Amino acid sequence: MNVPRAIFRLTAFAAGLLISLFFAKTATAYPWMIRHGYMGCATCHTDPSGGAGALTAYGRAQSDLLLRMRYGQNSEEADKTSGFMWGTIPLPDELRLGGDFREAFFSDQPENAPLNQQLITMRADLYGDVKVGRFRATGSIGYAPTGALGASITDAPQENLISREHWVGAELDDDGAWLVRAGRITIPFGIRMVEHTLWVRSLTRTDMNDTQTYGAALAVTKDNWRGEVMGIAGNFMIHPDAFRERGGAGYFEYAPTTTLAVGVSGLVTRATRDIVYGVTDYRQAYGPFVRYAPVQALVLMAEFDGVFQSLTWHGHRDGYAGFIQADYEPVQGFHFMLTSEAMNSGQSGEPSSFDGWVSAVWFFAPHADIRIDGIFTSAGIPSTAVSAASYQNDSSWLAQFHLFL
Amino acid sequence: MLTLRTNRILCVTAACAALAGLATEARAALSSASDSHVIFEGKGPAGFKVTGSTADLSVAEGDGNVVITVPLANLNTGIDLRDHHMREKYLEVPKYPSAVLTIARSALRVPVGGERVEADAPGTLTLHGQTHPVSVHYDAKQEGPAYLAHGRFHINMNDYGIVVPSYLGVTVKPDIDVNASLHVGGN
Repeated sequence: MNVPRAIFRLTAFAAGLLISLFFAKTATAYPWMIRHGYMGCATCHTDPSGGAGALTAYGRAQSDLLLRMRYGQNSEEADKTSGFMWGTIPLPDELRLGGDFREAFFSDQPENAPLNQQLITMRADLYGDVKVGRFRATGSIGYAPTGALGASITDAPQENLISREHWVGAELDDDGAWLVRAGRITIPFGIRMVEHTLWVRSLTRTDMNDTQTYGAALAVTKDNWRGEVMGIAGNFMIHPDAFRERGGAGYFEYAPTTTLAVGVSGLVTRATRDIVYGVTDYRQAYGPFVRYAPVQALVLMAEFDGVFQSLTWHGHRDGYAGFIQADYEPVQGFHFMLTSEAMNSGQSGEPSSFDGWVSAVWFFAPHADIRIDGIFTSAGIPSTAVSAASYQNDSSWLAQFHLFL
Repeated sequence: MLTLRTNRILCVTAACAALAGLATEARAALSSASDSHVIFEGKGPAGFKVTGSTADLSVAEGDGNVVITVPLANLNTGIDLRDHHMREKYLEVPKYPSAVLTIARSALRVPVGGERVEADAPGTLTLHGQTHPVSVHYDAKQEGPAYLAHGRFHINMNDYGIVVPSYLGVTVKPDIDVNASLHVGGN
């Protein structure tokens, strides 16, 4: 049996799992807004596919009217505090600014291992979007004490200046339904959501943390369908060039009703030297996703992706990742969520991993929310020359405070 | 807050249209409707869409016309604040509580036996205090003593003096589509 190959497998697997568990960073994407009939994202977000970044004026109003807890006080108009910096700094219509700050306390208890606890600065970003006529430009700048290396402007192992997104573009029609843009963009794939460490995001490398990459994209948002396709030129923030993945990705989503949307995603990339495996990697991912609100208080979401890799000297690796989530909002501003995941990265001898999340989020004030997650993981450990396949159980808790400008 | 008052009216109108499709030249007067569902759709920029609905409507027949009346008080879009704005500011429901669709019974084709009828019928819609002609596309099928009907038509809010809803850069286009389905009985 080839021991070095076995060690390579274990190391790569452990690295992937640790990255997803320990450097959990979240962003502000709320796909469960479909419960209010908002199937698309472009009305509220300057990114047509949603997620982190500046909100539109309409989006800010909805964050006040539909997102946060109202404490019994209904209003016909959004409160002035929904504006940038709680409405204290008026902005011209052409300029949309924002900031996102998320701090967390993370407690992780692996089975038969010491307890690990740490404070994590998940996000400390400022961002802006300019819209003059049909011309658009977006940029973000942030600080990452740890992680987010894929978006780092500076080159230190920690405490880096980062820029997750920066692009220029143009709206191709008066409605803003078609947007072409180029620059560093979040890869259009799957459901964008706050829980960006879900295995569907980490295994496909399509999260909102630091897997943004450079390329050109065309997005379209119509009344009952939307989609985006992107040609990927590579992440020019990592060096050398051999590490940069190139290819394409995209998704298409159709909403037969305002509370049901189904979609498919696809991705094909190649890297001369994969950043995880260190060898040439042809990587593909495909899968469906769905969002459904049978009643306003409940949103069900699910995604399943098959991931197919061809690694030089390490053969083919065909894996999968999937999740299902129920988001229950008994009263506006308070969410209780249950999430279940399964994943297999495709290593030979790897049993599938499973986990479950129990989460609660309280949007208690304008621009602010707190969140707690309990994540219980049973991670499959591949068999090696000297050991059989096994499972590593892990319990972790994550408490977050989030503020946006 | 973006309102959907106009959408409500459209919903009602659609319901009326669907009911009208069940009128028959040679049968007794149409009576009460059941299982009715009227949906309107308004669209805005960047894929914005608003859908509203109501299940309230009544059917009456007289003087050779089928008259379908839809009260607007319960038209809803799923967001209470938006509904309130729609009722009070745009559709002015306290002043104009109903939408009324009138179609000459002679303009309607009635299904017999198990046939399915699909046709267009001219009518007039009274909405927000104004009356204009509309063309309703409908289909209907007899189910026992009752009829299952679907109808759809299109209106422009500007024609009815309804202020186009606009809020923070999101403006509903004045063109609204209405669809309705219902069961209606014949006496």
